[in-house]
Amino acid sequence: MYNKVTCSQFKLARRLLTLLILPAVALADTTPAPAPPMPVPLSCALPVQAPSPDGSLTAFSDFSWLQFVALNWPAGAQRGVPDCTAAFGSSEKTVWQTYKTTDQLFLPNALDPGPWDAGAVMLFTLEHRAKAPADLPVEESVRQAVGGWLTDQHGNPTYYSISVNRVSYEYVVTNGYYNADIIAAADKVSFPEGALEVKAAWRILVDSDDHSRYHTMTAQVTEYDSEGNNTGRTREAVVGMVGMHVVYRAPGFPQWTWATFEQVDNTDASHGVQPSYFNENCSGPHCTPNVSPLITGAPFTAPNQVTRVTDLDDEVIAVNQDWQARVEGTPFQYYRLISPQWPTDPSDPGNPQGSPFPSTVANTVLESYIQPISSCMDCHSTARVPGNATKSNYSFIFLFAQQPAKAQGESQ
Amino acid sequence: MSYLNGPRINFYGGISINVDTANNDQYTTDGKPLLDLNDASVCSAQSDDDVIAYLREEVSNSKGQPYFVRGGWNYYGDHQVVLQQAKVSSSGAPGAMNQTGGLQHLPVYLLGGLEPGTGKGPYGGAVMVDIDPTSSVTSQIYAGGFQIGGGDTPALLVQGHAVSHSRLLGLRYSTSRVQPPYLTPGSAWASGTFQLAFRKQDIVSFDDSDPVLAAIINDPRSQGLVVRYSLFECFPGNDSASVRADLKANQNNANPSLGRVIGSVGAWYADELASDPLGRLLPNVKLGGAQGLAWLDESAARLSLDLVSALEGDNIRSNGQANTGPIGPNLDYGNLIISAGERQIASVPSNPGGYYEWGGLYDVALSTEAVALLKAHPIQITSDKNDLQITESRLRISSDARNLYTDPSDTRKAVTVRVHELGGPLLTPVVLQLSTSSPGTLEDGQFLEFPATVQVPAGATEVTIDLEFNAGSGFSLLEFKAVCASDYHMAFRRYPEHDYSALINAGNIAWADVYEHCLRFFYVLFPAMSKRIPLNDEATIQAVAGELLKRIDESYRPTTLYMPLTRALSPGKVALLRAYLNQLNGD
Repeated sequence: MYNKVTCSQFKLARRLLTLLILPAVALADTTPAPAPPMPVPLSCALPVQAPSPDGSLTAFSDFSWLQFVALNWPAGAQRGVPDCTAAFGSSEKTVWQTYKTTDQLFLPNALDPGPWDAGAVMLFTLEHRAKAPADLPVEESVRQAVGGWLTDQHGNPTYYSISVNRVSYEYVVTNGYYNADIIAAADKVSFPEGALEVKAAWRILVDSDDHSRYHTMTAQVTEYDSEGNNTGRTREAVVGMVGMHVVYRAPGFPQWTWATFEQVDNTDASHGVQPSYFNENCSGPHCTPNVSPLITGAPFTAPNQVTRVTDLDDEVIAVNQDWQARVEGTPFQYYRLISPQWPTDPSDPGNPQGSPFPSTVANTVLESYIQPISSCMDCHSTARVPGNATKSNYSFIFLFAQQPAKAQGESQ
Repeated sequence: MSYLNGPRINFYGGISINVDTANNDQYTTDGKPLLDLNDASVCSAQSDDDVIAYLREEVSNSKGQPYFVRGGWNYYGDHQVVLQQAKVSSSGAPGAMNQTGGLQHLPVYLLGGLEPGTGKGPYGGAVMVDIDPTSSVTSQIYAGGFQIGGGDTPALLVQGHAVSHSRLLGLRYSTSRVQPPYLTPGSAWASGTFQLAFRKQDIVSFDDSDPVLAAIINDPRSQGLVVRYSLFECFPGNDSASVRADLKANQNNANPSLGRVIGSVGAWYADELASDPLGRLLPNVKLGGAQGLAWLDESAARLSLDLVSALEGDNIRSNGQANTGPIGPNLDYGNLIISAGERQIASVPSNPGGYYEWGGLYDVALSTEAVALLKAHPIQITSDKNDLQITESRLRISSDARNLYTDPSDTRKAVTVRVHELGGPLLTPVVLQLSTSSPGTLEDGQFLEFPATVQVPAGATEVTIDLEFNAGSGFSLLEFKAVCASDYHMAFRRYPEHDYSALINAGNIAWADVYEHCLRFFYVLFPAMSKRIPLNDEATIQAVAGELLKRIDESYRPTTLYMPLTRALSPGKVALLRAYLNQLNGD
């Protein structure tokens, strides 16, 4: 399991080992010793090509971290473009946070959201659940894709946001798919290569939280009453990212590639920090972990107990240790890849779902209550356009497509 | 005519069969079943989590050896069937097959079905469904098409719904002579042959410049094409220890059965059944159940043999995952010696190392005298090595009626059975003897009423039999026997009567009722379904109600998309689920 001390110790040991070995090598052989491997510098460039479908878990984990770093790179002046001169971790405003959110893409009355560059880069209004039919009541907005809401140990709900990159945005806008009537009649939905979606989970940081362990932002958060009803009010709050899905339509992967990250303190008490979603001293009626409050009847403000059901694979752990060391000194050292997931057989017409691997991938703050059966690709393979006429190419964003305004005289 | 004496395209490769095994048992505990497979319900008062934990418990086989988990070797299977690196290995006309031409080495795919109505898809692959989940003889593979070649312009693209049934079931390996690398189900030693038939209107496109494809498809005697494929050496890709470790770590990966496939594509001639070709049946009397087919082409003076499932394999691969390379050799029979009327009339090399490149088919040139002998006498095939003994069944019984679902409202059904003698009409009258038995480990449902014997007159090729159904339900195997014939069977699943009209008519159907009666069984037994749609989550079912309504519609039943894939919901339960989903949709 990762911890900062271990990483530092490892690097120190490696340096000492190098010092000890080098003189011996020099004595034994007059040829120049090979230079020690130089750390690959962090890159602001979003990787384009995913590893081969038969690539290793390590290869896809590295690819996922390359995405994570590029997406969380400080944003430049232009929407969706990094400021490659800025140091990684030096800004609250990262590249993906300048992508357009589903709020900005699917406007009321199906108004054209305009070109990618239109409009200011705004603070998020955190009110949407991860996956929601557009006609659900607003109080549903903090629910996870499956199982209900997730309340942290401070009694605050977890908020979700969905953002899309330029390729994805322009595909939707160019085709008019922000309009529920148009997308419902689409013959086929097929996002172009390069499309990318980010689904993130956030929690309100309180004074006792160590903010330096989070990627934070200041956001307008919807307020809910003790029953979970939307009060209609928002307030400004500092929120910390606790989960992040990255979904990328990589060349050669019609089923997309998938990766999910978490903040390390979500459920794990081993870092000396009280977990955000687990209390080992929990008492009372709602302490059974990973059970939806919709089943237990837990009140909205009652903390939900969450534990990790599937441990991280050893290969993923090793990749995390490497990357966490490389982003040391930034809040992102407190994040870990849970797993990538990709189709191992992406181009087989007899196997349209592509045989996802690993089979089970769950983020404890995005799939808290369905961890044993959670699979990004299997779940998203069911995504459809409104009205169900066709599949929506693994994207649930069209659930937010809006009905156009009725013409005058048209019945309401 | 049969694919055996028409132009054909042969292929071989690997196959993945990802059946869920948790419904192979009712799990009797304390004298009571945990499940009712006929009723599609969970009998236990345990919680869902407890039932799932029970199915994930490690168990031993009858010899006390560790054997996967209680839910079997593939609790997380999703029933998808995928050809793996299957490629064209030869093509041509009988007696003139070759390994050149534009089709050679092209990939071959079984496809999933398009959505009825919209024609969209396919969104999944072919699927295997056992009509009786406890049986080993009632498998079906549903497909929605077939393809040769990849990319945007495949050499052949067929899209149509078809179902194939396991036939020629028997051993391919001696259970005492060869062993798989670890403890596996008995299917490791077995082989079975399936045949899909697609009509000409299902052919979306094909390369008309390819002479073999053109000969198959443009033949005016053809009503479409058949895809015939034999499966063997099928066993779980991962051993018991790996599966247990995987589940213990909650990785919950599927562990599909990985096997070998040898197949042929040919014309579906007008007088043929859809799921079984014409031909003479060739049992290998020394290898339980192993069988082949033969076609005597009198005008061409040629005997064509399909011996894929008749000859004994020499070994089972030692690596469970390595199912896509060259296929292991057959037992070396030297030359196959063909006789009729106690006269040796021809011989052909058995080609034990390369038979599979030719579809496991042999074309044997005959003299005029040999043709006459074969017309009048059963075929005998022996060998000059390893003592092969194949003796034709003089009578062959077959039918497209193989696996049949019946509703409680059905009171009768007529089934047509084809009876041939030496490949043609009956030379003498035949008496078919009918009886029923259990297809698997569950008791015979005894809902079939049928004549004990059926007379088939000389000159006939088929007979139609009227069956009646009584009030029972469950599973039953209707067996046909006759002197000088190999046995034939039909499997039935008769759904129980479920009347939820009181719930439906009262309106405002409760989630708890729908979950208990319609969804819970699948939630605990088929976790792969819930990876896509968590069946225990009311909000999710609410969100996908429209899609579910389509998938449980009768128009989806012949397709790979029907829900549930296992076709285990009775009409009464479907009605309750439909009413609930309609209620959600505001209808």
